[in-house]
Amino acid sequence: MSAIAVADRRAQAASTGMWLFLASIVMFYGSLFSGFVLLRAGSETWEMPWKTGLSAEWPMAVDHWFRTMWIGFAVMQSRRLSGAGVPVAGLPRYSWLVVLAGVFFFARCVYVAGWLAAQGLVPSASVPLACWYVLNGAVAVLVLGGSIAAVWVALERVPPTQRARRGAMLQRYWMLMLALWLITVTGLYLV
Amino acid sequence: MRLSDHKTIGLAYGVTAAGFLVVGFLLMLLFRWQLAWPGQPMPIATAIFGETNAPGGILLPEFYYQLVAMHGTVMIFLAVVPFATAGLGTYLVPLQIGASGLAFPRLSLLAFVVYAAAGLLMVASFAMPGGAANSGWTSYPPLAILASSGQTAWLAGVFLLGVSSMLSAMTLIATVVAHRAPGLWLRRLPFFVWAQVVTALLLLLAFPALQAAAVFQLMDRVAGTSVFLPSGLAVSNVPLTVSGGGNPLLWQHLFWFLAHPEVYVLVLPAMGIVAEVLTAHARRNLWRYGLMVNAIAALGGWSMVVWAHHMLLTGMGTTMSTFFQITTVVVSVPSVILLTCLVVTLWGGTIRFTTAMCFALAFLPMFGLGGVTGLPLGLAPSNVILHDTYYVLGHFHYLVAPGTLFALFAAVYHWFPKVTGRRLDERLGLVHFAGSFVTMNAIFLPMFLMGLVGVNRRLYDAGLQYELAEPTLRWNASMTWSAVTLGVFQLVFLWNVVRSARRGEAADNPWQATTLEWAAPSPPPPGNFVTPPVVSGGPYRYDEERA
Repeated sequence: MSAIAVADRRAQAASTGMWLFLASIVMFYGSLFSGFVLLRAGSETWEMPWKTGLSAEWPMAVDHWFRTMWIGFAVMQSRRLSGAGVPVAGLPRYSWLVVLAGVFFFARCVYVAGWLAAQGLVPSASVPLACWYVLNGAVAVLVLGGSIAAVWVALERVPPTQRARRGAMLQRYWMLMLALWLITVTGLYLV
Repeated sequence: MRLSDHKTIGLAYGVTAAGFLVVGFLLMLLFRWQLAWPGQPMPIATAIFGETNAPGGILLPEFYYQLVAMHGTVMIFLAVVPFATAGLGTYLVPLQIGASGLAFPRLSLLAFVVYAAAGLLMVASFAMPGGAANSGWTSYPPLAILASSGQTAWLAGVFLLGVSSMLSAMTLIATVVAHRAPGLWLRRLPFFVWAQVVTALLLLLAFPALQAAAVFQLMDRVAGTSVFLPSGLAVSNVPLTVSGGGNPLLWQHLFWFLAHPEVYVLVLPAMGIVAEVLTAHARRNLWRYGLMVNAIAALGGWSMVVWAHHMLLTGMGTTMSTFFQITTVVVSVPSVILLTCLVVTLWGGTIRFTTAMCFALAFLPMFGLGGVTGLPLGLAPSNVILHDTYYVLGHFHYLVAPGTLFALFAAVYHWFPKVTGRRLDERLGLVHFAGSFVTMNAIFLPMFLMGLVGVNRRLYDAGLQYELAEPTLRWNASMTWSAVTLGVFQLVFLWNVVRSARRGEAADNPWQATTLEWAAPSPPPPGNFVTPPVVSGGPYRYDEERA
């Protein structure tokens, strides 16, 4: 079999694998989120602490837009990474920017969780808070995973075409992260 | 031997899963002693399990429930599913599609390592304070949240098994999509490959629900949340110091969203195995191959919308209940199509009654019995009577034990020459088959009668305190003796495997099978095929042979 055919097969397998991986993440996060929906729908009261005064001390909504910005930035850089499947110059730089955005997002999640816990708003305090921690935590961990993948893409020594393909796959992952985050924000704060 | 070779990984899965099968079997023998002779001391039990678990040789209820919960867990999550999917799939699928290896060999190896680690963690939890998980293999809250620390290990193990399943399923599907031999169109794939692909998709899409449930339950146990704990919960009249407000039924929904498709994860590979064995040993092409492929895909897809028939008694309301009863009845349609096609395949065939064929033939009525007895459980009026009785145990054991396990034995006898280049001894094989067939039925058939009498499946003393259970008590002793005898016949099988691997009759393709794996030398070398195969027809060419 020719080298081109082997490379095509690898690319096809990698692309299939990535779609399947994304599908399993959707199912995992979807299960967590449907748990949240079921609990919220079955609950007579659903009190989020920052709706009862905390928002005056800490602009939670602003913080979430801040975090959305970081994840959006990561998506933009990952789009540049892919170069629409065509090798482009400066790929490692874009990878590092993705890593940076992801790490900032994760660090922000940890900081906010720690800050809430310090106020006594721990996961065991109520079911709404438990859901908040679980859903935020799940996205934070998945974003950190995306950052680690971006480090891998930046450091791996592969031909430019292959790197662009990996960039395209990374882009799909980050697009999903943005979608999950927007769903989380909508579910937890807006609805 | 390369670690990332699909054959090495497949064998590693097979051997490890067989080891867990033995563990699960031994756990069953232990609690069957208690059921057969409730309250009677078991010889050397104290020496093995200690005074805390078996004082004076008598198994304590807490320990009994650990044995039962871990038997189910080990058999389903660690033995049968990994053997049928990752073991056979990883070894055989690349060979059957004419590939030289897996799409992601290192991921597959990682999947095996994660699976083995999860299994060891779960089994090792017997040594944790309070012992292993004891809330049943279903781990329903609130009981599971209040259980001993072994439950935490159970949850961590289940999460890891989900990761492992995801990696191996991804690898298998990507291999079939991208690494098929030239000319091997989808409609030319062996039926076993289709069964493995549908199973992999089920694992990939259903397991994350249980992982999510495990995360929530871990939060409840470790972080003190109340996702599954309702308000006002008290244990022994002492209110629990939790915030409450959660919903225990949420666990059941998430658990059964995986666990019902998991039944098909057990059954579909078995269907694939039986199809391959029947067609090769009856010298007939599969009857209505296309219909069978569509049926197995429909069965896989439909199995994801029937989960709440396990929860018909939870008060879900008539609309939901009706929906799930209808979907449950409908899911039997593709199952019946598959069974019918397999039976009709035999029509006019030149049947060779090899051990593999005997096991495959026995699968058909055993699976049929398991399936038919499931119908009353899927309908609310009869479910009210039968729920949580021994009838349920009989039903699903017929699907899994004489059903799927017989198919797995058929696979071992059929593909042993492919793996080792030698045949298993047929005389010993037939002894193994006959003994297993009789003893399996002797164990599980009485369960239907016990269930119809109304004996609850979770009783530590087998129903000693209930008048209705009195006539069934003596059956437990015969069932336990049958289980011991079943174990003896498995020793015959083990001896056969060890002996034949060294001194069995050399055979390259003893069944004259026409699927692609037999075009490779036996055992297959690294890279599998001496010359890369080019496919020019369907997988089964037995009818052409006859013409």
